[in-house]
Amino acid sequence: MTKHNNEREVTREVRDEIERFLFREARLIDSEQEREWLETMVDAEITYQVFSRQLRYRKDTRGSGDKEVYFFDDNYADLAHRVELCENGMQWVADPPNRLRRIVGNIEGFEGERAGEYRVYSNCMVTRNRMVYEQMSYAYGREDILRRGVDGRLKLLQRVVDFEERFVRGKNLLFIL
Amino acid sequence: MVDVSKLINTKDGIQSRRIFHDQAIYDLEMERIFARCWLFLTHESLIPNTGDFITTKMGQDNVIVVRQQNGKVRAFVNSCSHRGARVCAAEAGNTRSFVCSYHGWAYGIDGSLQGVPLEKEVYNNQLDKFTHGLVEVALVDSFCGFIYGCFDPQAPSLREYLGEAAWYLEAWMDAPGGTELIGPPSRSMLYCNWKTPGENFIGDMYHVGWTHASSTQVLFSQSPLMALQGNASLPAPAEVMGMHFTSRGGHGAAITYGGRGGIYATARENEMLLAWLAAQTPKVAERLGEVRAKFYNSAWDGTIFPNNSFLVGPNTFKVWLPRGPGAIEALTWTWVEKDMPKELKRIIARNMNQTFGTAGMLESEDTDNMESMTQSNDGLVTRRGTLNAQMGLGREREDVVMPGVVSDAMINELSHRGFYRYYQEMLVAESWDELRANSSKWKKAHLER
Ligand code: FES
Ligand SMILES: [Fe+2]
Repeated sequence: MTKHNNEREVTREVRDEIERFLFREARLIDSEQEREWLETMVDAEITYQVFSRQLRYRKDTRGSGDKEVYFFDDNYADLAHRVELCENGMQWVADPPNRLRRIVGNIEGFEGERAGEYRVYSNCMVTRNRMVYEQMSYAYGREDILRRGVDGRLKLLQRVVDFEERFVRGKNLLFIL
Repeated sequence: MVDVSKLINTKDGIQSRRIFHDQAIYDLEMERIFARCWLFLTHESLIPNTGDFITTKMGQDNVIVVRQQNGKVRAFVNSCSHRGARVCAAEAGNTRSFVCSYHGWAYGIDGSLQGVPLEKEVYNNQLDKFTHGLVEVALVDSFCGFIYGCFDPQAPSLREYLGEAAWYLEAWMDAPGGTELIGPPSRSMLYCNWKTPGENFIGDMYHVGWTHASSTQVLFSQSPLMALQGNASLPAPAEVMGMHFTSRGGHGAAITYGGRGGIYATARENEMLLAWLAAQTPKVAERLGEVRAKFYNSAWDGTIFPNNSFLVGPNTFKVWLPRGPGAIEALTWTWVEKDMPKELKRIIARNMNQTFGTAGMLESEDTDNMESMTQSNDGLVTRRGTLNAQMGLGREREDVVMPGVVSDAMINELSHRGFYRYYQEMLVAESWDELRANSSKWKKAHLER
């Protein structure tokens, strides 16, 4: 997680607003309302990234190559593709439907670098139930930037997840984190 | 134990279902295939400097692959000669030594035992350090920068092992300027037998239109692969769409002509790749000839026996590490051409991760099939049955330019049959000499009707 100094906490009012935003987002995604999520909660300029970090020794600064692999490195159009995929009726992997359930906690909100932007941290526990026998769980932290639009409503401008489970036992991350 | 010489019937394209289930067969696979075949380790580009290393697995054996002082690459079993603990916990990095975390024995990057804490006091200087180095992987070599290792010193050279497949692989691996892998790999658990993804990638173009009906529609709108969407009809005779090959060593691929471009999300990204390919094609043609220049512009799905698969188009490069008969670890990299502009490399990596990475839209569609075709054989009665890979039987032929056995039908199971032909041969053969003795007549199993 990025370390930020001198962070200014948001007001209690904004804190409540941020929390309502994250809870609504969780509910929409977990109840297959991805389109509603995309169209009402996601900023058109979004950067949505989930990456996994190769495990190297703490003291090793000389190793070659990238240390991260990006599972998601999506913009709005990419996310729209993922949403379309859920909607075209041919996604056999989601039929019968998968069921997602997430707990969002440890929410913190700070004033962002620009006016009307907030830096938001949260932790997520997601359980995915699919087909008759599969149950998989995922835990991760999110670092978001929310931006207030001209209509006064918050939207997701940036999400970065530094995914900790190096070897993903839950097979894939084909859901909105 | 079942009679392993009866598991596969190449001529008729039939396989026993037990190959996806039986522990005894799996144990024999470890011994006869994974301890004897060339297995993918890493790419030259990921360990360019002295002391650069990665850790991975060959079968279920943990190994360290490390660049030596003299520039050569060697590989060692990642287990201490003292009590067997792991000597390297990192996945990659740069080091001068590997120090065991249990009692502190220290090994050089050449695998030799260099330091033993309190050696004088506790061993009375009686420990023979010379015979306590790390166990070395017998053979390490690279092909177009892709590094493979083999535990069996009797095995043929890597080049010979790849056989006829090398001629094909060069069409993309030996691109002008060379290729590289973008590291690190993704790592995920799939609950399937290690052969199920291998046989899918080796040339199953039949599933593309159906398994991937959803994602081909959303993602491949500008690609020739779109024609397959829904498996409703084929736009051109299958002959025009591409070809299939299999080789002595079971490696194979399906090649879809002209299919390498057009799979990216935006027109600008597609144009960028097509412009790149157009600029490179004359160089490829000059070095490798017109046929392989055509292959260079094609979409491929292929497998290098036993557990290394790749795609050209969505540039994925994968290893399926076995974890018992019913589970694997999938390692996934993006491959690119070294000389490509940085932006094009990023476009390719983004696309690869969106399609075949851990959050990849096509990857997850494939996974369900691989898992259910494994797990259904938990049923005793179910696994008494057989599987059918007869598609394209009778259409195999030899060609004057293209080596191995080829077929002009792109939607085909010729490469499946070749994979399992060699699979059975490896299980049955006691030695590489026995395998070599079969080499003059391997094509008969495909060509004689
Ligand atoms: S097990 Fe490695 S030093 Fe003892
Ligand atoms: Fe597939």
